[in-house]
Amino acid sequence: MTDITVTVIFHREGALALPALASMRDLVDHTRSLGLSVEARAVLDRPDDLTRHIVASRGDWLCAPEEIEFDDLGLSRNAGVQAARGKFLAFLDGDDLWGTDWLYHAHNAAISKNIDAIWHPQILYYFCETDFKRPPSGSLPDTRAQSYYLRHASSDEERFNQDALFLNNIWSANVFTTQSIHLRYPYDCVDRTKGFGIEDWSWNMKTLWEGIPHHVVTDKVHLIRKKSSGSLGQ
Amino acid sequence: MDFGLKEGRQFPGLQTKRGSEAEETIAADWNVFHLKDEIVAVRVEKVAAKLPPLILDQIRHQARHDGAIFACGRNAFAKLRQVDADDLIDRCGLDVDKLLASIETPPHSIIIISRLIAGDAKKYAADLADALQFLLRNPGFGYSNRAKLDRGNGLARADHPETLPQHPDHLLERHVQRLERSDTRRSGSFPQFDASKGYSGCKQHDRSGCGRSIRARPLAIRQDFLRLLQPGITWPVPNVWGDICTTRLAICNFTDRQQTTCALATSNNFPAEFWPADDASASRHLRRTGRGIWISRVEPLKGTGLLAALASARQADRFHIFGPLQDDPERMGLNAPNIQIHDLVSDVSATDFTSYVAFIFTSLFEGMPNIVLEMSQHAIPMVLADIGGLRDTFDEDAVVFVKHLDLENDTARAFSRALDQHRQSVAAAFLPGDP
Repeated sequence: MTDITVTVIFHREGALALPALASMRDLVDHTRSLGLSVEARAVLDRPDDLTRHIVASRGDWLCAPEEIEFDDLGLSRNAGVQAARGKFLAFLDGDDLWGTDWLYHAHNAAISKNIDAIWHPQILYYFCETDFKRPPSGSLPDTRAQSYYLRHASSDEERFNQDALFLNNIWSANVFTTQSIHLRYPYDCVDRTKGFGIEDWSWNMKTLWEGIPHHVVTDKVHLIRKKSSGSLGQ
Repeated sequence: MDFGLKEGRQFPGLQTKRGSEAEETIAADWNVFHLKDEIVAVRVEKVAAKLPPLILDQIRHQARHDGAIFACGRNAFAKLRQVDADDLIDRCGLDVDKLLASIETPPHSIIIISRLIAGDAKKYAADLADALQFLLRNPGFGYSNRAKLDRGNGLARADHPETLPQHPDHLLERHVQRLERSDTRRSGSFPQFDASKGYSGCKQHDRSGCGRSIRARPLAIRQDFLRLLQPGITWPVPNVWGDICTTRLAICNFTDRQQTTCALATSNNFPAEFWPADDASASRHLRRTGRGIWISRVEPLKGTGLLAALASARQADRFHIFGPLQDDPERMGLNAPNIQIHDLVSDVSATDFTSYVAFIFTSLFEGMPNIVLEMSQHAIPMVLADIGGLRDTFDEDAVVFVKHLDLENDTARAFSRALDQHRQSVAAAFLPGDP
């Protein structure tokens, strides 16, 4: 059985798919070089032509990119879950980047705990392109810089306040966990007729309240492009 | 701080807030005090732990794929702000425990409101507030901290909703206000309490003496909460809220404003029902005194004559004018007892207008008036003269347009009808049985 299926979800990222694919390739190659079997997949949910073209031309190393027409973040991930062959699944968003050894260390952490759990990187680095307009003073960032670090907490930490989830999302969507957890707890679709739905936030709530712990992998980082939407980086 | 605070000087190692922003700060780590004539909040900046070199190396490694990673400075990125994801005090000044504990008793109704669609949701929530206040006019549906609790059905009852007591210094209200302000400054962002803050219609400050406790009104919350109210999910303050299942729940659709319905939850766990007011109480409600707001340069070209006529036609209402005077108010007809003239609003986006029932824009000639765009960020109905590019900017179902007619009095009557019509149509949209 494949150790890990890593699935990147694309929508209409356009040129931002280029760094994401390059970073994902680093991630996959590095993990394979350490002896783990990795299936690398892409799900393109109603992509635009540029995104489709970039994935086709720069993603020939991916295993059969799948194009779907859901236009829904949650259902896109569920499609990735169904197609995956790995014991563990990792999801990536098509405009972000990831520390090269994320998969390897997340896998090690998951194996060592030997329990159902959901894994997040310890640090998210939110980088904001508009910070080019706010140059630093020497080694100090401008006080108006929009880039920042967000530190994830494990749900079993003493200081962890579960009630915070009622008011804000506290874990990102790029999780690492078993396929069986994903099959048990599929993502809810974003119900546009009701204008609601933040699929990762809802999923974090659902799984935590079902008793699935959320843990962090120490010293691992994801690099998240800061945008106006998104439930965590606000 | 005596020198430079007002000019925006940065104090190394300190974070500062001033004025209303400071006043609304309640997180434990802020010190709030008076400095001269101003309220100031100060806290020591959190000293972030140094990021492990391993993390920094991973970031550097990825920067070869995307230069934007170092947009903040290649030598500076290690010293960026660090925030704990679950520390909402640090992330957004929100003390979760205090906030949840501040809702001391179950509200009589919970309105589950969709998120997303920035801007519109606030307006939608405000409309809901208006409609529900209208529908809940029936005696027995008001709720207050002093009202008798009817444990039989979990509802609180108050026989005279209009005279509900005020609640001092309510934490949730203050948070709602704070978020309202921060949101209006950050277009594109959409904090999770939009619905409730837009809906709450809460007063600017308790000390203003014009508002009601948020507990006197239905509580609007994000739809995500619905999951948390399902059996099996533990409400964080069960002892405080008691049996949440006896609370009325209404799930509000957001498909189309014209078709918007208050779909009532029908499961046994969430009995929900709203009763329409009878005609007499509906009329009373519509006739009740309202406060309209008008902001512009105070001069005839801005429709001051029209405003004067409107004030004369609606003597039960009050009209608050904000703006620099270009002429003697009396000469412009603005000396009616129900007209109050105030100074210019220095920052429209940061000012609280939730106690006003409508923003009225009467200008005779405009291109694209900034004030209307700014006021659209506030959750109050807008009745606008149909001029310039406004019709291209706002949908008819979001604002009420009034055409200028030949006679000023006719136009004033049209404005007056529009004010009534807006409130009536909003209320009717949520009547049970409507599509």
